[in-house]
Amino acid sequence: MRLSGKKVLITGATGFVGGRLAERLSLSKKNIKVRGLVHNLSHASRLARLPVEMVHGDVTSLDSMRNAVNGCDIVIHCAIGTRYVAVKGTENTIKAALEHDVERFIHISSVAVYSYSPKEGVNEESDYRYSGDAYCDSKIDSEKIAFQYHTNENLPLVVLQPTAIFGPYAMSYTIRPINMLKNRNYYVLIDGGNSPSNAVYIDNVIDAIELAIKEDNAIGHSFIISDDKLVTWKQFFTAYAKMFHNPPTLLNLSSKEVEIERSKQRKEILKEILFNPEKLLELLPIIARESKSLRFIAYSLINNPSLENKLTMLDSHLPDALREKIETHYRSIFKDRSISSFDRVPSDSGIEIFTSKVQFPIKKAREKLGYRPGVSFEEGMKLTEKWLKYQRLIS
Amino acid sequence: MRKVNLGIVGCGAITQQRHLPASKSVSNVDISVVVDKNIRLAEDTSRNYKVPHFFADYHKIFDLVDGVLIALPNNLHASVSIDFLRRGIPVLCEKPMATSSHEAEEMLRTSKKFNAPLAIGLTRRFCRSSKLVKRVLSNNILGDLHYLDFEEGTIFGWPTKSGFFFDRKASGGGVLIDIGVYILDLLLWWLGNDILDFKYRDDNLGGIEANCELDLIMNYRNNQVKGRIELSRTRELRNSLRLFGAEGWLEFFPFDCENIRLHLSRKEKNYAKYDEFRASTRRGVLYYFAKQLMDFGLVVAGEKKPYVSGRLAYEGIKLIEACYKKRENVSMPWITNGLNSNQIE
Repeated sequence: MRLSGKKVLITGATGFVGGRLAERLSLSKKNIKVRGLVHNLSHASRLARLPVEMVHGDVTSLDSMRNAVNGCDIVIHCAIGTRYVAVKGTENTIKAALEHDVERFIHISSVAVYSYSPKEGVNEESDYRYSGDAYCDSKIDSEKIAFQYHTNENLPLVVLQPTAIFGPYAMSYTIRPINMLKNRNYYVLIDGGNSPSNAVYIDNVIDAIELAIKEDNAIGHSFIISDDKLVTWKQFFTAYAKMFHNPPTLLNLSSKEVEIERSKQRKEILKEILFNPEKLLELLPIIARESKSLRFIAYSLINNPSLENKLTMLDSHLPDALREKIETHYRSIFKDRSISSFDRVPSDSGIEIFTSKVQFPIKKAREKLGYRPGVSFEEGMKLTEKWLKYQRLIS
Repeated sequence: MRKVNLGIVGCGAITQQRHLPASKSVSNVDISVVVDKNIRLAEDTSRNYKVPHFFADYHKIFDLVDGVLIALPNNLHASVSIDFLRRGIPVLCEKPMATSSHEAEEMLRTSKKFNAPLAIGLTRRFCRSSKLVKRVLSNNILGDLHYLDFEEGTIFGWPTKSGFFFDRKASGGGVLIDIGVYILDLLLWWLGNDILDFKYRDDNLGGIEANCELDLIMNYRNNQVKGRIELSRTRELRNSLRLFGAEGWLEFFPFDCENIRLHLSRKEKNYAKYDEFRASTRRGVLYYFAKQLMDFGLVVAGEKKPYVSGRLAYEGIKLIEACYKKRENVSMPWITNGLNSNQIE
């Protein structure tokens, strides 16, 4: 199917992938009409620069999604959120898309559906692996729902599973590592950083999205999207380190040493919380006020050393309205923790990602979509560096 | 001091976050009515801030108020202000006063014709720090000025209720008209408006700009001053306005209403006071919104002219308009990459 002349709804249009997709589609000369779903208007500055119709809405509301999808030929679902938002949002977007007979539904998933430590030989036919990680598990649940609607209701679905996407506005693989390198002047490589990074430049993912719309035989399939050249984590972080006038050090620790450091950190976090109870005061009354059983969760929150898994726990236990409330407070309290002194070494999920030996294959995307990574790692890093300078994240 | 009745038209974020909270500490003003076309928002606002009356239609308040504060989306500033001015009702209009110089001119004309004062909500001019800059310049403490370097940019997070900021028709533009209107107003207020030449670039790609850059040359006391102004809604910039002269330079911080920093090459005794002139308390932004409201209360009572009149604000609007007319693109290769890729039909 041709993209030219079509009207496309992008959910998550103010986010990283959705934002770049909106740029590429709306600025192409293919007469594509782009509508962007905006959840929080305060985040729309980047999107508002484009010739894009902005619709204020919320993926967790079916009515809102009906309104957003109305009149669109194609839906590209990039919105993310907590497990609840991701899963409910995917289902609502699909329902609205089916009601409006869209010609294509592209679901942006992730290789995280195979967990952060996938088995050797993983490919699109491999089973999903639940791991207890909120992000990974929500990606699995969302994908499952999408495929159910494909099987039962003929949703014209294509699922894309990108690897580690880097480039302008990439939080996980660009902004956060750059901030860590800048603020701490070092970055920890595990076991020499010799594992494959599976880095993919954002524009290659956008190419894949466009191909997934174009190729009719892609319907009903999922595709892993990565670069084709092996880039190790050492090469990946070296590229960032070189962007600094005084390149930060890349420290090499063994998995064992990282584990010892992690356990030290856990104790420190616990100590910090115990000795600075005012940091939790904002959070505790809300929980305690609501019900007795929730107090238990509050105490678990304090005692659970792994900050990352707290959201998972909140997600599965709490009613929606309360969860949102707590999450907002939770985020405000732990906002800057992502690059705090507690992050001297990678997190638990980071350890898995940095030590996985798997290089994700793009054979299926090559064969069925005709996908070729158009931007090499080096070119991608050059563009990223220019953006980082413009963004004042490096000087 | 006579107490005056004011109405507020528009119950969006600026009214909720600034004007109404500030009004609590202003003794010469009573906010007696709020208006919003979203009647539920008007009602909630009236209840939350104990404002006696609320309406959906501003036409209903002409006889109820001594003066009015217009806090609507930018494209409505001129027409609604004019409706009040032509009835002789003094207006405090939020910035930017209008989305075109033509509209702004009309506002000035109406204000004069009906003898109704027009004040503009360029709050930063009330700041102690911006007044300090004005004093430093008037006393020629920096010597001959030769360069200015203004930067203001934070990642946009204003809790906009209507989202009009991102609709060109309603906002009249992006960061230039929103934040630039403050910066250009300070520039014109401090240094006059003898701009000899300028170049303007922004990142508008068919919507409204989030980033812009203005290079200019201006005449100030028979000296050529070169300068650059950079503004952003998507980047954390330096957030300081620097003015460089032969004897030193100063720095004004947009988010500090109290202090400026002076760097003088010769520390003469007389000037030392500026260097050490630190405010004992750091007042919040609401203090200056309250000052603005108090000033307007006095204007409505007929006791003074507006501290920020429409005249210089109009010059700012003219400059913004000229920038948009002359705009060029900021170079952004990470955006243009792959736009014309042949791989995809």
